[in-house]
Parts: sequence; structure tokens; C-alpha cells
Amino acid sequence: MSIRVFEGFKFKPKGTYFYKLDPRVKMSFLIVYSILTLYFSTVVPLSILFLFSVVIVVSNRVAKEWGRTLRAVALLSLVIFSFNLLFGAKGNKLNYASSMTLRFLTLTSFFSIFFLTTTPEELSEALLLIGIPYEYTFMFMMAMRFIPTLARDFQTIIDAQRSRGLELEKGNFVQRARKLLPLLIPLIVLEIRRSVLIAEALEARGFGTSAKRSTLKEYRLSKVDLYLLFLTITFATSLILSSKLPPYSEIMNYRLPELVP
Amino acid sequence: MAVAIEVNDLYFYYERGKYVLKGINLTVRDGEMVAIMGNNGAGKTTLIKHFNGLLKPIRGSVKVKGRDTKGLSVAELARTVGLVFQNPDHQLFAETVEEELAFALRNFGYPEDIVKRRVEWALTLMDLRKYRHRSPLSLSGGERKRVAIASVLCYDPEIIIFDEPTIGQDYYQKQKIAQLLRMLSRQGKTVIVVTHDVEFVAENFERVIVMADGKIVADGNVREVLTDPEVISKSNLLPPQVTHCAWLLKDVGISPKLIKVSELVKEITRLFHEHKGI
Repeated sequence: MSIRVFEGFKFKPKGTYFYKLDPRVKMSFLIVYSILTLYFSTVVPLSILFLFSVVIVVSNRVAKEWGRTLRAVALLSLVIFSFNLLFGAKGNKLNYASSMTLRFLTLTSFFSIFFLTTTPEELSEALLLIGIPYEYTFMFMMAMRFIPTLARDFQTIIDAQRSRGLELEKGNFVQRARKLLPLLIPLIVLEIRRSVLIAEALEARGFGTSAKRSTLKEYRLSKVDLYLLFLTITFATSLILSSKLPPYSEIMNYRLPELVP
Repeated sequence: MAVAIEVNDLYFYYERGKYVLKGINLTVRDGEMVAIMGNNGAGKTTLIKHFNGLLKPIRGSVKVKGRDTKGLSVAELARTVGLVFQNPDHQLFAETVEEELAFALRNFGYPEDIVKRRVEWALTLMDLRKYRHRSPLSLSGGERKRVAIASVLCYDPEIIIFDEPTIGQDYYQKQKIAQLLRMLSRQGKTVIVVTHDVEFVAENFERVIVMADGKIVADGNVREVLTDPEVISKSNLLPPQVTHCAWLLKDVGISPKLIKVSELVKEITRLFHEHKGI
């Protein structure tokens, strides 16, 4: 287990076009493409979506960080694939397993793009602007802010328990699952303790006293924002339409052959 | 005496190219008691994580009891090298203190009767008998620290490493920890302590290693190292208060090489008597 999985969910300043977008636009981008990824369940459109995300990743020069996360979740996607292949729904199992795995990777990819290019401040701003109360956006922002801290804590906990002879690699599936307890209990307790501390510190500094808050930076939609928003919608609509209308629908709904006839 | 830990030209980085350890060379002999000091980010914790195989050298080598750590797992090394982490909250998880102490012993596959005996021994040693059925998570900070120490001592490793054992401990507990370290040392254990507490080092150690920016800037007798103004300034340490006093009082004839309170008292008394003699 490694903290590398979080590399692709941490903000990395690169200054390319995606960074300059309005947080609301980035947010809509993430929402639209997440819904699309969940909407399609065949291999072709999911592959298109995945490749599309790769294009954005590469053109924004975040391939390295993105790659680390994708590599880290590769094992998990293998689990998803084999579970679905073995115990998946009735019907075409190979097709189902492939598309579920692809769907997982694509979702990971879009979330990675969003978090790599959005600062926590922008994120909370975006949530505020779409009308979510400050307490909730703040909560969300704090959760995001603490992901790296949590990852670091977790690594230290793994180190501490390995120093006491815990061998995570050994044993069968059940034994390994049991070995997670010495890792998860300290993590949960630690974070609960920390959250109580944070809550006290917040109250001590008068959190929630004023109902209306002003912000340091004001966001306005630029031309690039509108352009990307337009593109997003066009692309999404054309994907959906092509899956409905012949002759494209045939390719879009193509199913992988059955493994065992 | 035989060598407990031998570090040879050790280089290490977490991120390619950003070296955290740059050519560390050191030897710790069996039964030695060594303090490792240095400011934040000097590489102390990274160094000690090499001693039980949590980290493996990128260049150079680390040998524990003559065995290169490269080919050994953490679990194999942990039997010989006990590492007490700074924050007990990173490891406490069991339902009772007893269970917490038994965890490592069971991981190493000791039979139940030995587990029981060792747990009993460690409970007594760390003054934890009355908490044996309590949840370790419900104890106070200082008590949790003692449980964490006990959970390592119970499997009786030959080499014991403490990361900041005195942090968050009151004066009384600090004295207890100092006593414990001396007792372990008397038993022939090799004791390595990472700490910022210069007074603690001055009063309790003979050898100190000072690190700065991934390198060892001084390694030797506590008195020589802590009273060396060059080492002190290079490593951003403060000298012990007694030493600082002695430096300021140099002109009246007090030796600048003092590190313990008792020594300063002796010097002042001597001067006082000499003066009265005149």
C-alpha cells in the first residue's frame, strides 16, 4: 500500500490552460463527465471518454502525477475486472467486466484532472457559488486539505506496525483483511482526535459568527471559460446522440464477444 | 566490542534527486548509548528508519549485527531492532493494554506462555499494571507513550531506538525515561535516542551525533560536541543552558566546557572559595 495513490489528487501548479479556468466551469466539467461515464456502459464510449481525459492530462503537463495515481489503482481495477468476470451479472461477462473497469479508470482520471488543477480555495469558492452553505463547503474543503495529512499519518502507522512485526504481505485473504485493523483503528482514532482539536480551534477563532462572508478573489467567466463550457456540452451531447442514432449507435454499443460460447 | 549498527556512505532520497541523507558514515557498538540530534529536517528520523529496514539505502549500506539490511524484511530486522515511534497514537489499536503489548510478540510467533510472561514483565517495567485491562486509547498522553515504549520493550530487542521519547513528558516522566534508558544500557542493550532536548542529552549521554542537512556534522563525546561553538552554530542547536552560562562567565575563570548543572555549581563554589582565600 502506498501513499502514491494520492499524488494525482493533490494540486500541482503548472499554469496550463486548465488551471486558468473558472472553478465553476471545472466543476461542471467534472460533473458532466462523471455523469457521462456512469451513463455509458459499453466499451467504445467509455474508451472515448478515457482517451479524452488522457488528452487533457497530457496537454496540461500533469501526466506524471496522474500516472502515479493510475498505476496505484491498477491493482484495484484488476480486482474489479476479475470479480466482475467471475461473479458478474448474467449475460456477457467479459464485456461487463471490461466496461466496469474502464468506467472506474475513467472516473479516477476525471477526478484526478479536477483535483490536480484546482486549489482547495477555488473548490470551496465553486461550491459556494453554486449555492452550497459555507459550513458545508468549508467541511468539504477541510476534508480535501487533510487528504495528504491523512496519507502521511497512514504511512507512519504502517511503518510503526511493521516495526512491531506486522507482515502485510503474508497470509491469505482473510488473514490479510484482519491485518488492516491495526492500521485502521489508529488512523480513525487519530483523525477523530484531530477533528475535535480543529473544531475547538475554529470555535476559538469565532467560526460562524458572521452570516455573510466576503472573498479575497472574485470570479468572472472569461471567454475561454465559455468556450470550454460550450465544447463540453457539445461533446457530451454528440456522444449521447451518436449512441442513440444509427449508423454510429452500432459502433457505440458494440459488445465484446462472449468468453465462453 | 562487536558492532551493532554500521552505516557506510549512506545516501537516501524520497523524491528523485532531493537527497535527504548525503553520505552518512557511523558505527554504533554493542551496548552503546547514543543520542542523535539536529534541527527539523536534518534527516534524523529518515536515518533511524534505515536501522530496522523500513527504508533501504539508495546508495551505500546499512549493516545491523553484521547483516546487510538490503536483503532483510522489516519483520526479520524488528526482532533485533525495536523502534519506538514519536507519536503513540500512530500504533495503539488493541482493546486492552495487555493485548497491545502482546501484539508484537504474537507477530513474531512466540508461544502463549512466553507472551504472557513478557507482557507481565513489560507492564511492571513501565508501571502499567493497573491499566492492563484498560483501553490504551483511553489513557492520558504520557501513559499512552509508556504503553508504546512497553509494546516494543516487551519483545526484548537487542537494539532499541527511541524517536523523541521526551516530547510531551513532564519533568518527572522525563527522569523516569532517563532511568529506563540507563537501565537498558546497563543490561547491555544498544540504545539510540533521537531528540531535540539538549539538556536531556547533556545529563544522560556520553556520545552524541549531530546532524544537519542530511550530513553528520559531529560525532563524539557529549562534552566535546556540545561545547564546540562551531558545531552548535552549524547545526542550529542551542547549547545546554549551563554551557551558555559557562561561556558568559568565561572571563571570571569558569571553564567553558561545562554541560551539567552539578559541574557549574562545583566551579562556582571553587571560585568562591578561592576568592575568599585571597
